[in-house]
Amino acid sequence: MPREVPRLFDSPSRRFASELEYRNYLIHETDIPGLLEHNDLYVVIALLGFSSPERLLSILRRGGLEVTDDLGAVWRISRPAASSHGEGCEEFSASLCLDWDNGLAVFYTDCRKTMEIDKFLMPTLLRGSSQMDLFVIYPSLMQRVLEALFAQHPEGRLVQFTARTSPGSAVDGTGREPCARAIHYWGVDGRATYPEFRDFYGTAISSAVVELSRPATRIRMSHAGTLALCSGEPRVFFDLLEQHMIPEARRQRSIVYRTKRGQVPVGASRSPRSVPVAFPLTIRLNSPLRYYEVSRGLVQTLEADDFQVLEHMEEEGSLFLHAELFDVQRVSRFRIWANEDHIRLLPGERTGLSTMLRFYEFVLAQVDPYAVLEA
Amino acid sequence: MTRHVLDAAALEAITQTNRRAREVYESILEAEQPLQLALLRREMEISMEHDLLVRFCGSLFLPGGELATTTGYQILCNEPLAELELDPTLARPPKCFDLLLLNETLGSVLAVEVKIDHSTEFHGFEGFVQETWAKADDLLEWQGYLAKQVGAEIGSFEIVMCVKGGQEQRAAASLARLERNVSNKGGAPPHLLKLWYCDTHHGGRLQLFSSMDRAKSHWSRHSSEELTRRLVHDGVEVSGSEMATVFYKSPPACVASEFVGSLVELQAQAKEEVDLAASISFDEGEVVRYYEERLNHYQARPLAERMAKTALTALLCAELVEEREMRYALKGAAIRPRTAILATREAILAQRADECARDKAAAEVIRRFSTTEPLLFPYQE
Repeated sequence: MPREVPRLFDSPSRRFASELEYRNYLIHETDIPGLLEHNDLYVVIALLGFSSPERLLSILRRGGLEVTDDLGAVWRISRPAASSHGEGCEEFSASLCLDWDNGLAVFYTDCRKTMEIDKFLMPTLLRGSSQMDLFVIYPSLMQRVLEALFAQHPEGRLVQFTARTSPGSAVDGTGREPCARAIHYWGVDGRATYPEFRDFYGTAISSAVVELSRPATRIRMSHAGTLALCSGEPRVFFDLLEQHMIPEARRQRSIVYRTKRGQVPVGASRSPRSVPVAFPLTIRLNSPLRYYEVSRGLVQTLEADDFQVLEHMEEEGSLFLHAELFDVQRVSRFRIWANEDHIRLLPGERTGLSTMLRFYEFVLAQVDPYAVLEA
Repeated sequence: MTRHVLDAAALEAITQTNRRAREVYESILEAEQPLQLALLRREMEISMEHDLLVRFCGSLFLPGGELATTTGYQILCNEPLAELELDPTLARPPKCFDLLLLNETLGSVLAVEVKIDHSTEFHGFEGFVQETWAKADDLLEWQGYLAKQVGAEIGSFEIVMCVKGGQEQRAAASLARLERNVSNKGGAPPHLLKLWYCDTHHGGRLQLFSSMDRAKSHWSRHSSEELTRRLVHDGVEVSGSEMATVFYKSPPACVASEFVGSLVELQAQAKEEVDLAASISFDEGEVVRYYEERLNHYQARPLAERMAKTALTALLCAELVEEREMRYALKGAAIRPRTAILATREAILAQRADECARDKAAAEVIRRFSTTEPLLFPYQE
């Protein structure tokens, strides 16, 4: 009697101790190539600023997502479709791998990105809690991953990419005046074309589609913590996840997680006291920030992005900027100060992980696409 | 639309128990003339720079930091003796320094006073020097009290005046001239101030100005060789954690400005909270508990006096009758237009979201706190 191959997200009776174990299960005991004939396999990585399963359950429930099976380190979640969700929208289902030690929640799903994922999962991840947000696949990480992939697979091709720049971007192309640009490129020669766009127009990559021929595999990466295996060999895809994305997500979460306010004990042992301290988030800039860029409209750009500037102070000469900002979307106040080399975010009482990542994304989009979070 | 109007007696009680809050109300009500507003704006700019420098200095001496580890000096508190300023039994309360740093091993204290001068006068710092000398007199007078408060033997004090990078030459010249004047009259300088300057560019570098024109060169150096060595030459850069001080003594306009900021935050939080409560199960008690927890949280924290006061006053502002609330926001607009626009918008949104629950919550909390005087020195042990 032939062995029955379970569908990708059928609930197995077994439990999983880790995401790695779950991935091995996917590779060895499910028919991913068969599934990929009909759907893509999406992996969405979210960062958590808390470690309470109850809290996550409550956030998921508020977003209409129900946990149908608890398989240890993996939860099976779903949400039935209703007519109000629009035509063609089907039930959403996913496996959620939880790494509480590192504050990661990784969703595996074969639902459609622009339908069920965008309608059911993304709103919960983006607006469900101030302590939860998507992992930011920033341009320099994406470049690094592409380089590593092509080093292992020299025959690999970059067949699609999206690259952007903004008027405030510190990376000015050598060919043209800086302005807002978005380039969506299709072509088998993307590996050669992207550096040309980058050097000439100062654009930074924000999404990419890679095709490898040995083994034949097609992978899509997007800056908003989402990766997709469109066809081919799951092992290559999971290696990319394991070797690059998950470690970087852990690093990003760890940096953001320790950015908070706290109390530091000081003074004489006979009369212990403490002082409030803000542990800052440092965003290291790749290109020096110049005063004229700040005065040219950074404040206005911040406000356009829903960061209300409550107060700011800037000085000419060597740049110095100090500002108090209010994140209108996430309802939190924080301060920043910046010089040519870095921008430092000093969290307020309610500044959550999502505000910090949102601000980091703002810096990537508007100030310096190659800025990195400093450990 | 009905609005719960705060019990006049409760409001009176709050302002009676909180001198600072009363001052702020009065200053806001007075701040209607353009000239006054221009002065307020200037005062706020200076205050921002001042606060930033205090943070820089304090941060460098946080436990675990390089400077604290190598020199043994650690931040102890900001605004030492501030609690005495509100003691009605004192005829002349002492004036406070901005920061107190303690080396427990040496029993040595550094009292740091930050001064920002926006005048163009070459000897514009003379007044500041005299002010710092007067503060040092007060500190010495209250040395016993301070030692008891901090729980350590205090063997020696060094007084530091810290100025903004670029102003150190003028500050040094003012200091030298005053010292010469005193010497010419046959006296000695009452206190030998050390001069720090902080370059806010390049990440906030703190340095000791050791080349002042003084009778003796060692007057410009710290008794701790290590501290002197660290602060001369290239100085030290703020790079790690930052002290999130809760400043006690900002000018009224800044406190008012802080109120508006807090108002924005609290209104938005209230809206968020009420929305959340409404989406699950409507429970007025939840909102009451939220505010209570928040204020208790502030209260429980050392040096959080101003934050507690700010939060409570923001609540007060939010709970004033509609006309006055708008008036407050408009006053704020003169000081910080963006904030006030947002504040006004959020106030309206919050009002619409649920006025009843929020009003009741605020009134409940205010009533409770108005009888227990929670805002005075919650950090006092």
